[in-house]
Amino acid sequence: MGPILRLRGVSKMFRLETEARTMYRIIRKLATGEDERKSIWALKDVDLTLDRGEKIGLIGGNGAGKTTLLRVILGIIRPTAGTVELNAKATGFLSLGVGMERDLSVLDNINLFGMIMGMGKDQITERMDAIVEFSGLGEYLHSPLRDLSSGMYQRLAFSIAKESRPDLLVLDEILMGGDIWFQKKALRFFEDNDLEGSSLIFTSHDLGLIERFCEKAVWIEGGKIMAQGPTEEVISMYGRRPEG
Amino acid sequence: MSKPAFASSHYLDLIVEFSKAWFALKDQRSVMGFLWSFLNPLLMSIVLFFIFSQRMGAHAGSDYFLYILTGTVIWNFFIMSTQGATKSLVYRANMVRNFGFPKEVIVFATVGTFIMQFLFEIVVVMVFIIAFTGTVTPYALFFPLVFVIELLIVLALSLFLSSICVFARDLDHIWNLLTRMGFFIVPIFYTLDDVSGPINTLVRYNPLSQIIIMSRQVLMEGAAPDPLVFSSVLIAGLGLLAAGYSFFKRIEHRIVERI
Repeated sequence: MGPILRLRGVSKMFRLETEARTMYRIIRKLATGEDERKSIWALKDVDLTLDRGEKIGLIGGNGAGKTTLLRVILGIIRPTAGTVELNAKATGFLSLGVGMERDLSVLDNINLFGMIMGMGKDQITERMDAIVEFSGLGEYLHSPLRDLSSGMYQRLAFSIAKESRPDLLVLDEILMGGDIWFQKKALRFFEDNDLEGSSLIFTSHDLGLIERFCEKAVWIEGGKIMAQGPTEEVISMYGRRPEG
Repeated sequence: MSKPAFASSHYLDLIVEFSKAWFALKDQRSVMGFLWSFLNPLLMSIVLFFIFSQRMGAHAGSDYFLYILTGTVIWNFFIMSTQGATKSLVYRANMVRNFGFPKEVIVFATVGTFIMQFLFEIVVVMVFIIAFTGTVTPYALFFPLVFVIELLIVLALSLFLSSICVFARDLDHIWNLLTRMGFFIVPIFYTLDDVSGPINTLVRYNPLSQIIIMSRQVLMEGAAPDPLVFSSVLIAGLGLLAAGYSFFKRIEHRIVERI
């Protein structure tokens, strides 16, 4: 069985906006063909392979290109160059609270967010108890989401994402901001290999967390992969990087 | 990019669930919420009736108020849903950026919330028709078919408007102005016989005019729509939707990057 994910020479360029987005600008651009926007490369020639059941930690400074890489992997954005082969069902959880509606109840949000995460109605019903149990929000099922703390949001969203049982779970700084109780629970989930053979890619500034759960780490800086390999080695190299 | 929403029953379910959720949020699941929304076309119809009943009512027949109300409700669905859809992607930019589902799901679900509102409004219109005329004929069963054509046009324009609005944020203001002017080139408070020359041509060949005229035929006049007009507008609607969908899918990846 081959890898579930393979990136070959993936690069991504974005164009920076320099003026307001108006119809006048579009018409002027169509008439003159001018495009004064600057280009920046968020990813440069990235090669990455992920095997089934493998856990990869993604490290790097702010603006290094970690989230862009996750969005490319999930097919949310297209690479400018290179190829992405994803041979699995992937679920991404990139931003806390997005996709949830504050004025709907916890129960309604489980149904809505579950569908966004790719579950069918029957699957959500079938896994409802597990979601409620893992999130620990049973007593809030009929309360509007706005009454919950951001930590509770996170518990709920993570519990739903986990129950979507993807082949590949992609998490962006997902354990930041949650309460200690939930962090422990989520960590135990990773530790017990409760992913049932699923692969995991997650970003974190907590190097201890990466070291604890990932057999492999990838250090990305300025859109380039600086190092990838056994976690200890990569973290050690990352620790010796020049400041600034 | 992502596969088309039409191709997956999961995405169709997602459209329905989003529509239900956003509709519930819009009116906070209250009876008053429904009523407030219906008051807009109702009051508009009353005002138009009092202003124009002396001058324009003659060609429209004895049920001039019903004539205006039916036209207003059909037109109202068109402007509310296209105006709502124009900013739909921009309003839900975080969803566009963070999830991989086809982005037209958000546009269609936004139109879906207005379909729910419209269903309520058209039932109230039927009640008015029965109250004023005492009956609704079996030709009213044609109405869902006429509405489907309006929906095709609304969905097509929504795909164009929502995607272009990501690159030109002032498009919603421009569209609001255009629809305000468009109100006068559809026969809501006048009939085709009340206008002549190039204005008559403009009104006659406007697909929205024909949808309003066919709606009145099946709901109020107890007549079937003209098959030639019906099939022409249907083909125009299907062609427009195919063009809108193909345009949207072609720039979908740029929408995600630029939003």
